[in-house]
Amino acid sequence: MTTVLQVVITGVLLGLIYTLIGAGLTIVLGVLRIVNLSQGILVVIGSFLAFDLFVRWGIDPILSVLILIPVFFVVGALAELLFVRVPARDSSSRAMLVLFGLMMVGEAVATLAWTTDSRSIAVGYANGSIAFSGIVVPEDYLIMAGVAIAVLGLTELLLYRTMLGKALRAVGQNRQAAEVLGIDSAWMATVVFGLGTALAGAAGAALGVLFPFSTQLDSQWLAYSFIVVLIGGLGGVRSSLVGGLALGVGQAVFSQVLPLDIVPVVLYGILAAALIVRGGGIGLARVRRI
Amino acid sequence: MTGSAGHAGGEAVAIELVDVVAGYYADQPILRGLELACAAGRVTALLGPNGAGKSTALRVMVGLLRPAEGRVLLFGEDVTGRSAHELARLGVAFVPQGRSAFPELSVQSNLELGAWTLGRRRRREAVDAIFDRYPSLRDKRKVPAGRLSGGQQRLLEISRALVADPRVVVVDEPSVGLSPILAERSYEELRRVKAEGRTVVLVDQNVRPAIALADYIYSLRQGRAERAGRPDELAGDLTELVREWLGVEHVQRAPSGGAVGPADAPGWGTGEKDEKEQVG
Repeated sequence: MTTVLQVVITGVLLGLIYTLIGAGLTIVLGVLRIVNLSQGILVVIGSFLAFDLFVRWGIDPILSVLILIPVFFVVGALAELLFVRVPARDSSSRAMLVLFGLMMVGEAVATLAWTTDSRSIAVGYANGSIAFSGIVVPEDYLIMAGVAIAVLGLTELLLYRTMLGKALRAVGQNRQAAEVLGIDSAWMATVVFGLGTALAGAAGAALGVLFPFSTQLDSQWLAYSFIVVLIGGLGGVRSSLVGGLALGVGQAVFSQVLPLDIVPVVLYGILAAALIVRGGGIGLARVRRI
Repeated sequence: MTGSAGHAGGEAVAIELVDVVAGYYADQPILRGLELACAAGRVTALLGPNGAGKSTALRVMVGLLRPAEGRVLLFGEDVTGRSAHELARLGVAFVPQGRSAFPELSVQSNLELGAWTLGRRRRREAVDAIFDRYPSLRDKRKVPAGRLSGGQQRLLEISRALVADPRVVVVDEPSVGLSPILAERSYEELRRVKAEGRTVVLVDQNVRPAIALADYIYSLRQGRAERAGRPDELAGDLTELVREWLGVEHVQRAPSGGAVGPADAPGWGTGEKDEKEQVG
């Protein structure tokens, strides 16, 4: 029983961080109808930057999240302005092709900067754990899940409680109706891209603490963010939470009963099956639109 | 009809389209040299058979469609090519055809976004004023717009267009998809908007209420203004006009369908303007 509980708790904590990766993709997709294929490499770059900040200046990844969020926001906003805006006017599939290109470039640049070696961030709390009534929870999972909750909570507040957030959601629900109210939807697209990128950077820092990483990990994180979206749907943070928790708990459970190298295969299998059975994703979350 | 003067004659012109050519695909213009002028503080109705370019004309007016040729003037200022959000800031409001309330956002949020161009304090006041005007919306202010009935959504859409106190209100098909009673409520709102002295430009398949509301009527065909005049000036032709109109509707609903397009519709009367200016 305690084993089951422990597996579930670990899964939930992991799931919160997966929510962070998925939320970036969800928000961009939900508002702009564009799949940001560069989401995975952005997460990886986030991990590496957190690593550099830690190794060179001893900055704890918790603090790095605060640094990376605005930096990634600006990078994402600039990328939208320079590379996405014009092709997106034509069609979202054209924008996705450009983003695929950016992913390749990002991967190449990251490999040049950091080689293909695997790294890990050896923070003080990396090997600690907290035990209560027989259940052992890794300390780093707990801390990073807390960071994820904070970032996700702020994102939710931004989207649901501020005029800017309402305008962003309005653009997602009916772009032309938003335009005729005076909302500059092109500018909103820039903001949304910045937001999605910022979430990817934050997720990268958090994941860098939990797992060793290399520049080749981008496709895995991209696939995981797809799974989050497909399970949870496009309702923003709340639907990502459903998808992220399902993925985290699923992964934790499968890791107990299956050989470790089989787990991703099973996860991708579920993803593929979901796509075949229900082309639009599983949409477990009640909130269907952002 | 020569030039755009027909209507306004001395009155201030709110929106004017000058020789506008526009469409959704290159080489397939829907508007083919459309000229029209909507007088300030008046209701102008655009009528005509399906495919005449009525809705397209509205989309050009509000900046959702950039004309390939010609000019758009707003109170004399050239606003050709300005985007919809820029025109909204200049006081042009648009109620598009069909559902346009943001379904996942609450009634209140929808209205707040209608006041997007105002500052924070004025936004609150403006939304409160709308709630005073439509108490039924205040009762539902926390309800997502998508859960309102069709009539209430229409009311929300119209009131959302009014929050920012626009100078010009452009309305596409105010009664489409509504029951006769709810449609009447839409017209009641438009009469009120008219009584407030705002400029209204209206496209409506429902010809009779549009004529009843309008100060001036343009009948469009094949992307041009074919006839124009005050309802009383057109009075002699109105019955015929409506019959032609309904006739076209009827023919188009026939199962064989597609063969009959607007171009094949019976004539619209005077024929004072023919096809010699045909574009393309």
